[in-house]
Amino acid sequence: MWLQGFQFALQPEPIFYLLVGTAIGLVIGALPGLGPLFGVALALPFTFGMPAATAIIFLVSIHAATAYGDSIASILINTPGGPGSVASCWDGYPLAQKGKAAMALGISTFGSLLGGIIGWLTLVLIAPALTAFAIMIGAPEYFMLGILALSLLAIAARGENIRGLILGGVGLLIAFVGQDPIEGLNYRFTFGSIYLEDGLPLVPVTVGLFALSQAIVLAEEGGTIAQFFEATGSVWEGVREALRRPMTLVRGGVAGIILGIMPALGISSASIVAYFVEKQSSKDPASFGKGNPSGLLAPETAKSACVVGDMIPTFTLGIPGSATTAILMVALVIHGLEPGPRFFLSGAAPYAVFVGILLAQIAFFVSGVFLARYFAKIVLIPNALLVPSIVLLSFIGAFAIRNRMEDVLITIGFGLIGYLLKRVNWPTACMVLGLVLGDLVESNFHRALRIGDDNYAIFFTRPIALILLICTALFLLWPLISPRVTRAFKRPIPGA
Amino acid sequence: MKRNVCVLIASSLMLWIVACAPAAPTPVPATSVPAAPTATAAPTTPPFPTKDVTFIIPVSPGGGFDTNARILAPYLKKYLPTQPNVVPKNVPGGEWRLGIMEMYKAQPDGHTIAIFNLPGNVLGQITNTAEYDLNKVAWIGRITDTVYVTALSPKSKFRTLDDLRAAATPAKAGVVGLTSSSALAMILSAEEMGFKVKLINYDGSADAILAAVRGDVDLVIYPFPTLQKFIVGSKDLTPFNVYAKERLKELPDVPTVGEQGYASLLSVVALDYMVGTVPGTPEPILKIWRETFDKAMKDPDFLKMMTDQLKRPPSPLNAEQAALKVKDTLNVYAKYKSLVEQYVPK
Repeated sequence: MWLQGFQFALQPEPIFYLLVGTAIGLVIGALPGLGPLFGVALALPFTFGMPAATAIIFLVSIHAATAYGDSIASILINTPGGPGSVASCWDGYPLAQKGKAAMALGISTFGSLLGGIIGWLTLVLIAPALTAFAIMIGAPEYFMLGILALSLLAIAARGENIRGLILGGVGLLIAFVGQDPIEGLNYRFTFGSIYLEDGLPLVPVTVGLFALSQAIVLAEEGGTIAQFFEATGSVWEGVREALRRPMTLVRGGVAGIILGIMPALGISSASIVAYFVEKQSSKDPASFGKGNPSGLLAPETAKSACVVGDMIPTFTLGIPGSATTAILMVALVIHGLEPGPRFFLSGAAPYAVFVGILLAQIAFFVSGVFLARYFAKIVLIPNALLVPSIVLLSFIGAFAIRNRMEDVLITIGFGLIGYLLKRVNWPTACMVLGLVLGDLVESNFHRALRIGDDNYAIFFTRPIALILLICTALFLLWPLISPRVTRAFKRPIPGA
Repeated sequence: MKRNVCVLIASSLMLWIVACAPAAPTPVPATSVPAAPTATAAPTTPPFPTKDVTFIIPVSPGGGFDTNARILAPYLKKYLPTQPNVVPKNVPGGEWRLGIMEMYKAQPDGHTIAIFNLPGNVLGQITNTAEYDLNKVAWIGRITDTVYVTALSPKSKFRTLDDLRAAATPAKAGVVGLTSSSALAMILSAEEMGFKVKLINYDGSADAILAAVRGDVDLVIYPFPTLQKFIVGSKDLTPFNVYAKERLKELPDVPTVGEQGYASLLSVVALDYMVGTVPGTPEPILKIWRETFDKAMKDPDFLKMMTDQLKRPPSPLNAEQAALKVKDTLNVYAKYKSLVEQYVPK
């Protein structure tokens, strides 16, 4: 079956669409705010006339390349290309400012490739077992996972605790705008506007906070992004930097897969969580945010692993791991491939799809390596030209998600907020963490209570929820415990 | 490379202008007539089609309504005169209201259509939370209806209807949106069959179904294509009953609601995929749309795709039948207004 899969996927037509898909993905990825969801939804109608496996290969190549392309803008101009690449700005852009743009792109390209391969191996080797585990995650477990991820605020805000916690709280408050997720028709902070009933949309808010605010900063600075540094380093140097950090690759890959297979969590949280986990495990956390290669490698690997991880429940259960894979599932159904436990039994086509997913990783890697040196020149373009382009593309990105002008106004509003926060040096990342996790935490808290007949015991009596709670406690207390643990282990040795 | 960037920026700019164009003019009240046409005689019909058609899908991408609309769009293009693009546009939010209102307030020139959910959209109207009147929508037709199936969690303590009736605590049902068609189907079935139910709201049908697989909720009710992979050749969920006149060939051992003694539910627990356009659209344009729709419904490629998707041939209705269906559904559900309001907090 694998042989037939390879034979099919390596024919001229699938390869052609693989390359077209990768090219489309890179362009859409580089536009601020437009991520994989937009790319795959846009391409779906074009696949109706294609053979099933070719259609899916086309879509997965767009999916993978868009997610990869998202980071190019994050690294070069500090403007997230999509919701999955917010964390890639935090160490990617400082590297570019230092003149190491090519190296940063190399780290991103290679990290994305390895993340994709880690995800792919998981998909073909242990997907059913992982899916069985993911099914056990219900409302109380999601709530505890959300709390665990929120505890990352402690790391995100290190050194600026009060400011970080305030912004985390503000992020949560913003997440609570709109319809009550459980009771239905109770509206909070909507001021009578139908627009606000669905809450503040994540993409326009993040595009404003990061992209538009960055445009204002660049306009103030003038000159070019890499004005104080000579451009040094090459893409291959980035590959070598990545290879020197095998544990970072593993941590990022595992974080990406875990968040990918959970239907309620996706790339917007995967890369952010991977970033802070990496910062927590680093010997030199202070260098994060100043151009630490690990701080770029971890989110990049996680994002790419998550893109493939999202497909695991889609293929094995017929349950999409994200909105993007929901569209992919529409494509599978339209093309007569039955996602679910019997997916593997539908002849050679599923294997051709799997081969296609692997080839998609390689396709964006090769194009990335080839194009990176040209992309890296963006940091030499005068800001006077760059700023209007960023503003224009940010507005397009904010608008195109739901075709609503109000979303553009939200982007402008949050652009100003993001700019003010940058001026006073408050950690904007904390706000995003609250915003991304708020809805997950709130809705699953109420849902769990309804399932448990309003008894809080449901959070402590289910084993996985309890384990997650203990992990959160350990995570928060670790700075206090770790010196004692170290001492406890060292104590017997002094006699030696 | 520079040239590529220029082309990209130029095309983005064009995209931007095109995308903004319909949003730019402020909504014109339905009674007033745009300035230019007043020069000519009032009853003249604007030419149609003169530009791309927007097909509004008032839900997020990925579900049954989105899938059916996206399958249909290219076939509407195929049979419309001059073959304009029919562009699907997801406008999710406010339990369908945002998308429906965007269509409702659009120019009645045939260039904006939308997919509707019966009975889901009826609920907003009878509880007075919606600003639209479905009787005023210019109906184009029904793509298909679908058969509901109830399935029990294998981990639930309930196995039979008697178990459900005898229970002291309400059975927990996983639904998506308290005013959704499936929530409505659940409430009405519980009421007619005489058992108590507590709705647990999930973000998507996949989450609700998984909750039942896990045993967090006792039962779910969904269209057969949605539940099929969990109940046919799989023990993830136990099918309980089928809302159809006859048993399904894939589920020969599962009784119909009629066999359970509740044939009356057949007329209320159903799901219709309707297509309509702006109230007040001139009759000649509606005629074009209705003929186009009827031709699309008979297209062999369309039929094959729909049959693959639904696991059975679609059951379309023409515009007249569809309008009647809407009227009937509104009348039927008006009876259940107070019951529904118990479950939907204000």
